[in-house]
Amino acid sequence: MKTFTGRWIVAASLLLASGLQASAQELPADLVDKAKAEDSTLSYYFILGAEANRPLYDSFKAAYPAAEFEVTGGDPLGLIEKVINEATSGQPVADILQGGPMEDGILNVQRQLGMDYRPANEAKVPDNLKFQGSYVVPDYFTFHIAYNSDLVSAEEAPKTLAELADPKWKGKFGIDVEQIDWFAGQLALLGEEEGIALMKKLAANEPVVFAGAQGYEQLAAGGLPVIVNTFSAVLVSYIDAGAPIAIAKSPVVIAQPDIYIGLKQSDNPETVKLFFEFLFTEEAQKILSQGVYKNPVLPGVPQPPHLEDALADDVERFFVTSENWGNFDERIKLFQSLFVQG
Amino acid sequence: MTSTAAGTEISVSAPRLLPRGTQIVAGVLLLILIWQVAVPIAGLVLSSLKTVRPIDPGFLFSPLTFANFARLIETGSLAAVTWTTLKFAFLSSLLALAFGTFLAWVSTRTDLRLGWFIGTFVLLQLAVPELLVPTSWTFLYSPELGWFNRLWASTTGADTPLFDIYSFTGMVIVEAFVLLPLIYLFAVPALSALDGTLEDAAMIAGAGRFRATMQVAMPLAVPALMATWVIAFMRAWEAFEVPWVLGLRSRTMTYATRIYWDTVTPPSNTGLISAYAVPMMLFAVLLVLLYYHFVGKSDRYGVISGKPMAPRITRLEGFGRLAVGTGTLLLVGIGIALPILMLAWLSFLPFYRPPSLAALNALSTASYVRVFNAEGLLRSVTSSVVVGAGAALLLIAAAIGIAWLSRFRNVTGGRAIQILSFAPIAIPNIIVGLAFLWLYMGLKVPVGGTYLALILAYFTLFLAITSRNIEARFVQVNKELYEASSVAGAGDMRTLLSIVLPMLGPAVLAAALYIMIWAFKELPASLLLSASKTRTVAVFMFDMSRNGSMSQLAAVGMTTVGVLAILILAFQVVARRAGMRGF
Repeated sequence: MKTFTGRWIVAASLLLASGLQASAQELPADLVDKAKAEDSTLSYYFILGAEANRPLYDSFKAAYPAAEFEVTGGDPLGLIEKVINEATSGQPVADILQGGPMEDGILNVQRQLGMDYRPANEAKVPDNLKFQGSYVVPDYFTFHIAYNSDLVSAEEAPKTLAELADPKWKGKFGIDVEQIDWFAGQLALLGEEEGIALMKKLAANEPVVFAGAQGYEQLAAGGLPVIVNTFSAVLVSYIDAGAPIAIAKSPVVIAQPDIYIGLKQSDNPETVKLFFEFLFTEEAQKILSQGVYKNPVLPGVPQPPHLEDALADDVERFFVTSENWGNFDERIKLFQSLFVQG
Repeated sequence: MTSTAAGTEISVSAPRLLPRGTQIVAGVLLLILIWQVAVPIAGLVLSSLKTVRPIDPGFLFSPLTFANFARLIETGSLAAVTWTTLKFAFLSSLLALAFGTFLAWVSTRTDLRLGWFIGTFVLLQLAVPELLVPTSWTFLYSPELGWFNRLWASTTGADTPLFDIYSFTGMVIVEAFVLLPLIYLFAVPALSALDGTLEDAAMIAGAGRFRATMQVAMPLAVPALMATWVIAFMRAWEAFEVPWVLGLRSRTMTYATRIYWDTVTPPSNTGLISAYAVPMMLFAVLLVLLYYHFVGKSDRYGVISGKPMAPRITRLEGFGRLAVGTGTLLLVGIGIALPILMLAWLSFLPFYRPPSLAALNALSTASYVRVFNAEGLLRSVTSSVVVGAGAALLLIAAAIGIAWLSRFRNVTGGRAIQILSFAPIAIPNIIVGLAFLWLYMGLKVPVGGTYLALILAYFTLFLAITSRNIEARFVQVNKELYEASSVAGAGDMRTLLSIVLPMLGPAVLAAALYIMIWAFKELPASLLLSASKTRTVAVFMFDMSRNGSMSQLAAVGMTTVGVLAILILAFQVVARRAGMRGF
């Protein structure tokens, strides 16, 4: 499928193929009844905005027609700021905030703002993909070393970060400085000392630093042979669009749980729970995987396209979480001192 | 008596008695400015001296500390960052002033008939989201991918690129083009207002047309140009997009990118952000004083007289015509048109390929389909229009009031009004957003997420530019007009409504357009203060861009340009009917 429109067609087809009735039947009837007593309009805070989850919302609305979504986008700082202010002033607006380890650390670990709820189907999730915080994790992202297949052959392509410390890659690889979760994950995986030593070697090898889509464009157009920390969902969309990009298969990848926090102060707690139940249905998992390119957690649901090999069963996923992230300020300062200040 | 820059003697009347009701107007304005400006500034200064966040319990009674300033200095590279930012802001704003004034002069004071061409492209440049301006330049001048550099390498066989956009020079040039529309928009009314008789007098005295323009006409536009330059300088000082996109690779850090890294961890470290903003504010105060020093004797600049004498048009001939024409086309072509074309090119490709016949096969409208299928585009346009129109109305009314009061030296609170109306230029947008978010939450005023919250925030954000430019035009109204009106028996209010306001037309129109366009582009405060039903176009576009490729980002940018092009066209029609040159 070559375009973003294609993604939507896939999502819509999935929606139809899965059968709306089946989705509705999968939702717990008692929860549906309780949710009906609420206004069922979910105020949803998500940094990727309304469109990123559109097929998911549409599918949920098809299964539970009373539901509406009012999505507020923004940067993590702005959304967390809003949630904290709403909680402090006793004027709740948000029902759900979708984020990552940082959001969990600040809203749950530091302020206990999330509700505790475990969807029934979560029991089917393998232990290595199961998380037990005040949130649910129906999917996750991964970070990969990716290369331009016109410039670098599969044999030459670096499989590990250590290989990129070799002088032959000097100045020929890029680092996305917005992916601080990846950096924290690497330090958690390798240990503080070994991790920092490796990062120093990488920094000494003069990486091209960039932020966001610019680096992916350079990779696709041949301006940059390798990127060390591509984000799976974005990477797949480029490959899907026909970009000459390939993913190096590493023995271990850093993974980031996609954290959905239902807020304790929500005016629609039962609708939130209903949505969480829905996220663990097979239909929702297929949409997450094939429609918006996130890695599903339920067994039997296929990986997003182009990630099958890079996320084969023999590849270890090392999750970065609020527990192993380290001190947020310190991590960012270290990352900045190594790669941004030079 | 005092003398004009042109040497003409103009009589200056003694301080006047205050017209009835003036003090009431001043009082109301002062109250508004205290709420809209002084409260956020007080919050900013207080926050800089606290380690507790304003919304947290115990903020007011927590001890005062310099810990935030200590942390700011502690990081070691503050001096280097300040120096880099100073150079960046000074050079880019100066270059923008040169480019913008040159283009305004060509379009209003020469017979090249390029006004519509220049005006259209400059206004389109203003419509481009700021993040996309440096981004599109990278596809023209990046050492590896830049189209110009590749063309240069293929034609000359050179190993080194023609120009590295990631250099400091590249940052300065691109920021200058980001600021250019601001300068142009307010230089055009200023240059159009100049009384041709002064230049005639200079020519009778033996000066050539060019010399008469440069030495007589241009200095009379100093207040407007100076005011706009000060604002351009401050905008460059806090500019994030260009240093972020272009400075990252060469590790060139400015204040804005430094603040980003120091405060990227939520919840926002308001103490540290405020500590960064305090020196900015002090610097802005210095610039304000410098501005008032320049325009202190405002009678010198009273060039709009009772006898409407059109500005003289310079006839360019021979080499001069060729040089000015070529310079204009290069400036507009390379600096504005090509980056916009590159953006359009990017928006039609799934990922970047250099422009070529072969690449034409890959063109697709998929990114636009996604943008137009997204829920909420129309609603966000409505939000921007409502917020922009509301803010423009409030701001223009306030700015006219402020400018009117500036004529009277014996208004109680007059000086405070002047300073408060300029001070917001030094407050970062995110601080304005946070300040109002906290105020509404803290006082439990139910306006959070409404249009009103956004309009009031925009009032603070765009007060400096609106009030300065309308005041600069006000300063250009010659005292003779007030005196003539008074002799004819008209009261002050009638003079204001019948004589002065029509003269302010071009500046009011320019300010309204500027605010309306920014209602589509302002992001940091809008993100904090809007809700899903009131999100503006910038917030809508931001949401779209977070989840997409460069192609989608470019499509989002071009859609914004397209929507604003309608507004720009309407402005051009009105401007033409009003006889304004330069648009």
